[in-house]
Amino acid sequence: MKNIFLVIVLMSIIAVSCQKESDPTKVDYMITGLTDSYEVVYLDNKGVSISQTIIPSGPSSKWVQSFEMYQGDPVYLYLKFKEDISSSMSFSMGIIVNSKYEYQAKYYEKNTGDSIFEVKRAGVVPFK
Amino acid sequence: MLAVEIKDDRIVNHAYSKIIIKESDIEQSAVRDIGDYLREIPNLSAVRKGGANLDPVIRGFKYNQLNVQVDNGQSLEGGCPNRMDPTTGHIEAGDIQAIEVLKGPFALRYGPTMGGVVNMLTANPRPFEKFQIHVKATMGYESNWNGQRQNVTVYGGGKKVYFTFSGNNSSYGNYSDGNGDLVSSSFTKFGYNAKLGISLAENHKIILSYSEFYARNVMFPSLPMDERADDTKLYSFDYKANKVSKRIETIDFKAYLSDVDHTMDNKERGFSDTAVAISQIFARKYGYRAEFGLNTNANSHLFVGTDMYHIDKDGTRDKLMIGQFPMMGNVPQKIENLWNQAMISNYGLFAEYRLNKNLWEIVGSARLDYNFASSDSISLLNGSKVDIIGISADSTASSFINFSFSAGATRKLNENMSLGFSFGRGVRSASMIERFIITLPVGFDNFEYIGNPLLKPEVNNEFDLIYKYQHQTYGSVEITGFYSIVQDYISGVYLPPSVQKPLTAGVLGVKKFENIGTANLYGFELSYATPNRYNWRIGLTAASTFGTINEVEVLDFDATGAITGSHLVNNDPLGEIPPLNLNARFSYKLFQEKLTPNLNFRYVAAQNNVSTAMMELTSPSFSLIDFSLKYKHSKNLSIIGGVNNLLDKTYYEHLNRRVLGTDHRLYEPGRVFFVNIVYNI
Repeated sequence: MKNIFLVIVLMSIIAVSCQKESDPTKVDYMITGLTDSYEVVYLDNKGVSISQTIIPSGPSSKWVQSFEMYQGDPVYLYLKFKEDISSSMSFSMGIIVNSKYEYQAKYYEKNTGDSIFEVKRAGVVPFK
Repeated sequence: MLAVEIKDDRIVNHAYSKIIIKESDIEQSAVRDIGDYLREIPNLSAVRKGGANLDPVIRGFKYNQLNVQVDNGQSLEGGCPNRMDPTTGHIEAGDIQAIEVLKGPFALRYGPTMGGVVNMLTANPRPFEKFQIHVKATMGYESNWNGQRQNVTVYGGGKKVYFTFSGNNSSYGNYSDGNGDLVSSSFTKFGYNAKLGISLAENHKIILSYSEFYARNVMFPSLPMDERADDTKLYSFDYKANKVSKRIETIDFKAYLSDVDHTMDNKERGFSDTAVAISQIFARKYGYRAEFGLNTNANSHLFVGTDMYHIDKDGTRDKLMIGQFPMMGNVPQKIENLWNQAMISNYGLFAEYRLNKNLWEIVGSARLDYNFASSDSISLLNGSKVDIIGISADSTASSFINFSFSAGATRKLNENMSLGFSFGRGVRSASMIERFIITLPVGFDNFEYIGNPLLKPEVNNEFDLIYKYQHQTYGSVEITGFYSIVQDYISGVYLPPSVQKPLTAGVLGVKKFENIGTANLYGFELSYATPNRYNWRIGLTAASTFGTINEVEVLDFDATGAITGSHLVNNDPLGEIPPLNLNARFSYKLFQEKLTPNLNFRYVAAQNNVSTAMMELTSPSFSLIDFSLKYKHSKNLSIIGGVNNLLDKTYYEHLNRRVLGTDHRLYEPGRVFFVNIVYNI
């Protein structure tokens, strides 16, 4: 009986230690400071590309899309807009992991002409 | 006691080097990885690319030049083209009860063998007179890595039905080298193994075995990717019969299936912000082995049999190009074949005859293999959708008939001494990587490699001379010398950019696997041990290997590192050959063996004989001291504690790979304290 008890305890230790999955992490895609409509492309928590046109409701509106993701999941946020943000203090786009900006832009990366601006931030959910 | 089944070859004095490491030896060390542990054997070394899954090398022979198997015949195919998961990496170290190493191309009963055999033996169920259950538990901890491992084996049963069930878990963090610098080397492994034995009649039994083995987040700083997940399943069925008739002594049959689902990625590499690459590979190997052991007369024995294996491999690399802007509203994605439904089959017939007459013991062995392989097309589309490799499926098929044989004789010179001589010719057909890999940097030099479906088999012609001396008072000495002539040696040959441009950033170019000529490997092993009956024990070993290739192309570079041409070099050293290794071990049994201190000195010479063709780096000499203390509390409980690399030296083995993108070698761990607790009831 003592032996069987010991076996159960030891096997339980191994079984418990085998629960290896990491906890999910909250990921927010966020854009602020735009008043005209814009296009976004982002990756959801299944790795699928989502393309959307966003129409802001007002100058202080912000666009947020939240997901539960795991360490190493790719994150990607692309923004295309036509608005002049050269004097904007409130423009920001980025990817927030666990309430902290992991990838962020305060300005556009590319001006494709005709006042079309593009910016992208991407990476993976960091490993602890 | 757990049972382990070591293959009986009916040979008393081998005319070649055969080493068996038993459970009691394995328990003395902190064994977290089998490939790492094998480095304790003279002239065995291993390629380190990370903290775990070291790839064994015997006398300079490596990868598919070796036949690495589990439980007398089961083998498996790893998923990674860079061999981050060699066979030894798919087996939990805690499950191993014994390891058999047979150097050279002599033991042909084990399957096609060119450079040697490593046979890892797990516990086998055995019958008991009355139903009973036993437990063996091993727990270990290692500082520096903050690594812990547990293995519990429950075994028992009755006369007719008996079993073993073992569960294991190990979790290791990153270690620090002697300088205190952290090396990305963490890993987690867990799994279980279940075996059921049934005695059908007296001397007839079957054993059914099933294992699941998982690895997670195994870090490889030398490779472009880490192992994110590896799920391995092993199935086997064994039938064994003894004393079947006057003529038939034994019948052994094994059928097996090994399934590997291997996922790796670059998510913890700096360049993952350009492209997140995930590779998933499915590798399946199945086969059988059937053997009859025949009594030919009172002094001789004959084994005859047949074996077969089949490997399927398929997998892709999925690159999410997150460094680019979207195309048509989607994040750009590339899917590339790593293997395109590649397969290899091998059918073999083998026989081994042993004759023991007067002072002579003679062994002859032969095998005939029919090996064929094919793949779907080896192709790679560039941005303009043009196939830049263009090997059609029809051109990938190849088949070979390989004949291997060996013969050895040992003569007793007197009561204490014997002298043995062996000659063997071991043939192996090219591996999956050498035949079918699609432009990946899989070598230790900084080049991409392309497979070649038309490679001829590689042949090792080897001579071994072995001298043994055994004396009750003075101890035992074994000296082995070997010389190998390898024909049709397989290595990479440079392709100019006009033929093939590299696809990986930072590599120097592309090489294609070719048969490049004749290589020579030679060396020796020496060991001495005092007799067991003394309380004090001394063990000394020395081993070295040298290797050259008769003629090889060496590339020329200008000051900017661009390739400007090439020239031929004769007798260039072969790459990845370990240098001279000396070992001295001292122990003393105190208090009727209750306490045994053990001190180990190891010296490894510098390796300056390096391959210029592969731009190999030299490595400096180093020396190490390890200490351990074994406390045997009772027959049920033993505790072994100790310290490895006592002086906290900063060093690396010659076969440790470079950290990716640098010329810095991967250092070995600094000082490590360890404790093993072994409980048996």
